[in-house]
Amino acid sequence: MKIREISHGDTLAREQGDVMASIRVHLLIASCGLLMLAAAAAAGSEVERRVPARPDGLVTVSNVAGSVTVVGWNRDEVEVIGYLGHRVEELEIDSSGRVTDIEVELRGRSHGSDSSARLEIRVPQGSDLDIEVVSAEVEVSDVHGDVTIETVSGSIDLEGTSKAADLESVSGSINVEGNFDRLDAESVSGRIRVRGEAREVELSTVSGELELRVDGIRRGDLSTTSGSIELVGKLDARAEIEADSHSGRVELQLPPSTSARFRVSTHSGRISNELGPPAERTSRYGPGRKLEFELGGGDGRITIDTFSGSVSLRRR
Amino acid sequence: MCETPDMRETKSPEPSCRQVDPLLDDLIDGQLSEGQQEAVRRHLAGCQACREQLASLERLLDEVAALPRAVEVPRDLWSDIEPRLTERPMAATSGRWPDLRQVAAALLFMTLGGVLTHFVQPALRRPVDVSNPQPSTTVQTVELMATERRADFALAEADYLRAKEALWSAVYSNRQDVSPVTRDVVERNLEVIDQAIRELRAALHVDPGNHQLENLLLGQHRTEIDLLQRLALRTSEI
Repeated sequence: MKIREISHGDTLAREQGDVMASIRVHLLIASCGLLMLAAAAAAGSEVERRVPARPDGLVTVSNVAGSVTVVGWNRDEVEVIGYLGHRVEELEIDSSGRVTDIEVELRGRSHGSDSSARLEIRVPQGSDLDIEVVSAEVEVSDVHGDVTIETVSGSIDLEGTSKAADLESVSGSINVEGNFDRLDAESVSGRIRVRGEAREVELSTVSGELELRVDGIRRGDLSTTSGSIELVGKLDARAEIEADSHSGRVELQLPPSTSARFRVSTHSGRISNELGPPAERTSRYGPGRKLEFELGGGDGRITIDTFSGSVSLRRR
Repeated sequence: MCETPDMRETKSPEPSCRQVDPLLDDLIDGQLSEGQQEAVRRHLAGCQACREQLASLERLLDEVAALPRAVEVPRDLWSDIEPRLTERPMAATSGRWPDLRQVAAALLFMTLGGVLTHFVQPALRRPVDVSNPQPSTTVQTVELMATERRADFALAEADYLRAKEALWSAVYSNRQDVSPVTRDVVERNLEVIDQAIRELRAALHVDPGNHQLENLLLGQHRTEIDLLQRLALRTSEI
């Protein structure tokens, strides 16, 4: 009896244990299922499409969050692979004439990662590009047409050779590397960094830094309020460079073979010069300083103005 | 001689000067209906002040049209933005945009500001060669030019301030549409610019008419306008 009882009790216990175990397994399976469903929902969907495109057409891209990666290729078609958050209503791709529009449409006004879309796009190398995003990061490479990119907080990385690039961001950084006929870049607080060769550059930022390691500049217009400006490179023979900053430091590193007339003035900053004579005071009592001199044949023209930012001309 | 708007309104249904004035732009652009055109032209026939206003507007537009392409007129973002507002309100760039009339007003200010600045900047940059005076360059002429330059500068600065005010209004009536992070970045940077403007004004107070300071100050105004313009037109974050 005892044994039986024990046995019965044991059996009961075992049965109860089996039931509990079974419930746990079912719960586990159900939980896994729910998790997988949730993950699937969060992962959203994947889209892959190709449309024919002209070799020198225009491709426009509009996205909010996530990323946009564009690579030029040697086919006359546009390929889009999109990984879409579940609050993305649709990835619309329209091709008409020379224009291919790629647009991420959201359900209402969405926030968060579920409204992001990661787009990987291939376009004919000769395409013009026009990209608008909010917080998405943008990377473009090997596209030879005109490139226009606007972001709010997303960073911009552009690499390759373009006729013209026009880049704009509020707080995202802008990195450019390659060979450009014309480069315009503007930010509020994001750093702008340029490497390579460029004929005409116009860069401005409020508090971000401008950093150029660029050869061949024919015309340069560099402007900040508090951000620093640093230009290192060999200028075009008749380069015209204007750099101004309110309180940011301005530094030019140029080879001694540079041929240009320099005009530097600052209201209260310092000027140091390794390329020519020292600066002089603009008045006996005020803090202002100016520097005017010619290097080589004086073919180019370099003008620097600051309020309180220091100016440094260094030998490269 | 033009009657006052109130008198005119009580005497006949014909439009008053106040009503006609905002229609002059559209008249030049050919945007008025036949009826409106006829009413405006009838008013113009009897109102010398409005005729002069129309002639002045036409002259201004001619001068703007004659400006060289290289002149840096503020970028016309409007033509770029408008289709997006009307054609795809729920697209990726959707969200509430600033009151269009406010933005349009701001852009109008800015366009005028740009034009004014282009007239003013060459004057500001024009060197006064006192070391090698031409026969007509007397001390009085130099002084007159300096006075004119200061007046031009004051006009240019006033113009920037008006544009800024209009843009502030557009931006801040919709500031909830800008993400807190972006708003913080913009506000911090506007403060950086305002600080620069304060410093430049203080320096100009000590050294009025300093050409370099004036140019730096206008440059900061331009930077601020540009920032506000971008914020007003683009940063409706979702």
